Amino acid sequence: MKKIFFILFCGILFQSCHLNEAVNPLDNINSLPVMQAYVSDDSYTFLLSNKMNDVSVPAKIIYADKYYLSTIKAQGAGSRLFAKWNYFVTLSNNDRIDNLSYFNISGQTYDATFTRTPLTIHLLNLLGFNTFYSTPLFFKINESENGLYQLNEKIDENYFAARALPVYELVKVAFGARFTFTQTNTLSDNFEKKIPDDKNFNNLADFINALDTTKPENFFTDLAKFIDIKEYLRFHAFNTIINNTDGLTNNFYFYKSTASSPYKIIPWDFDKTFDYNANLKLVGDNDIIRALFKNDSCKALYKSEMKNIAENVFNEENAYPVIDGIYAQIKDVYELDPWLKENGLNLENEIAKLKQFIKDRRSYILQNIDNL
Amino acid sequence: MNRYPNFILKKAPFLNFLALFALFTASSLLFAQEQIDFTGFGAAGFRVYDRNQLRKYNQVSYYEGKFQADITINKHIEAQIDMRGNSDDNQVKLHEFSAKFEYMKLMRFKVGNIKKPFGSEELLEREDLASVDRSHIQQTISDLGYGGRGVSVMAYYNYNKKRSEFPFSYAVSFFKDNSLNSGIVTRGVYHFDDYALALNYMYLHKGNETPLNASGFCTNLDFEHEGLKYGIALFYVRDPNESLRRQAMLQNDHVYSTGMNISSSFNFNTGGDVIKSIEPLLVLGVFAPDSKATKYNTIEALPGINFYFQKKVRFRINGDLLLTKNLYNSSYTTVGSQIVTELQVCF
Repeated sequence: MKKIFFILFCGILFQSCHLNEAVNPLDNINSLPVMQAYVSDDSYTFLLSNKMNDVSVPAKIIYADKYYLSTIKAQGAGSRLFAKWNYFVTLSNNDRIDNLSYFNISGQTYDATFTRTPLTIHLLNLLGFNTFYSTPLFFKINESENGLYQLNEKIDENYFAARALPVYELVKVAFGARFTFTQTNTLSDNFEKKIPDDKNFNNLADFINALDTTKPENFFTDLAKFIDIKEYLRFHAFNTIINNTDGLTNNFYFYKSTASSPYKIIPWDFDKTFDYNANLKLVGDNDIIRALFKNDSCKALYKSEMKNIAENVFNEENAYPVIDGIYAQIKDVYELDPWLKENGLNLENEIAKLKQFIKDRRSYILQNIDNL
Repeated sequence: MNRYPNFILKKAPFLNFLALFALFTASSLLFAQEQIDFTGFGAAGFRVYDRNQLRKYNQVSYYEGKFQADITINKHIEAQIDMRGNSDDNQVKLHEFSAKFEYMKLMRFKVGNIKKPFGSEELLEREDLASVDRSHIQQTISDLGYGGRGVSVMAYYNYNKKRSEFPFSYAVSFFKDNSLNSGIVTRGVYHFDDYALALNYMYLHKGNETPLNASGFCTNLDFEHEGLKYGIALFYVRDPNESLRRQAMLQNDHVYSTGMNISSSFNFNTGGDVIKSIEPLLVLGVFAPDSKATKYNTIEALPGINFYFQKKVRFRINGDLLLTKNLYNSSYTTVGSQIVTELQVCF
């Protein structure tokens, strides 16, 4: 009898052990890298109570079977207020992941398809813009499933050094930026000086003043000293086409390669692109485009840029393969993202909506551009 | 997948504490023959800023601390180590190390990562300021290079009332930092009655592909008598950043900033059991980044009050109003203004 009980007991124990063995669905995911961060309980509590500050805590990172020491902190502007917030990771010991020693881990708050950033980068590259490195991954802190994120390169001195691009000045356009002095405009409140690291905004102020005061007939001789007009018009036209509601008064960089060169643009942060709840029609609004449209040649150039983008770049042939590629990467882990799951989102539906938007938007632009 | 248990991480604060404890024990043994005095402060507070909160959040709770050890090696040599930490950095940093050598009556030497002796306010320790923060002018010129710390060698003498036959203080400091800045700061102070009249000159060399030499001038008149303090400061400094920008644009690169600051505070006893004394204070200042375009300027009005529970324990409220008219703006903004409350305990 004892023997039977013993066998039964061992059987139950074995079965229990088997049942309790942790089955992590991410272990079988090969399509998407998984980044795991380990932060001590104290530090994590500290991080949670300092989301609005830029305060780092130590973290250990495991990525692609390698182990890294790092620090981690909250990142972003409004996105810090969301449940799925963004992080900034700085690796120690000169370590690098994907050739980066520090990077953003962005939750892509407004992008239920997780394709907007790679898609926008691809299209911007076709248009000749400088863009940043970005790759999707599944990010976890302390074994809890944090979900789908995008690893994004930071734009700073190292960004330019890595591309052998000369840089004299870099200014980030922050939320609600105005490009006019017709109203009081405190540049330090709406722009961030990145390079050089000081509080001198006078080059930007000179540009904005030129935008306010240059006679339209002199735009291509005088204003062109401050900004690459053609490139800006292409940027504006593209942002309008993709309904980037967060990209005309926020989320781009002005950079100068030399002291006397005009500002060029580096776009940034694409989770609000392809916003099908908004309609920027044919011209998204900001102070720059309002000023430039005082010159008929600028308007004609804008029209031609927009037409060219809609005909040759913003089309199904260029967009769909990128969307499908990302879809293949993330489809198996999409359901594992608790925030996406909580919102009842379905990746296939979201992808279908995005593709339909591209189709409809292109058709709208091509049908109406001549009326501009 | 938990191949890397985080017990080491959990133990990290304890290990840090252990290391620190070992360090202090070793130091105590090492300096067994020397006298070590510990000073410092701890503070916690709350700030509300007038700023675009999507660029940087406009409410900040904070805490910070300073732990300073003054080590008397012998009657000629002293050393100082100043460690600080705050909630922004979330780590303790070595703020200052310096060694003082005193072999002559009227000349001492200080070597280490020390303050540039430019302006009376800059020379005050954080815990000795009446206001929570330094004035806007002081912070601005420090950012330009006319303040802060650098590895320096300084010859100096601080006025001592016991030696009234020499009513002067002076400092000559050579510094070099790790941002390719180097220079000389000279400061002379004449003390009479309860007044101190100071003159400062600073030569600042910014090295880089396009080096720049800049000069700064400052004069102070300070008064202190039985709890009443006031001071006037005038600054005239070359802005190296704007000068370099204009140099690159082939424009006139001699850009000088001008500023004036008036500060006053009065500490009076209340006779109360809880609040022993109260210190109202007022700082007024005006700063023009370009002396040739003074209509673009910042006006500062900083009223405040300190409630002393004890000489070294005070609760402070400051309202720092900044009115700024930027280049090409026709009206003033209040962006950057703030209200601060803080409890500070010194020891």
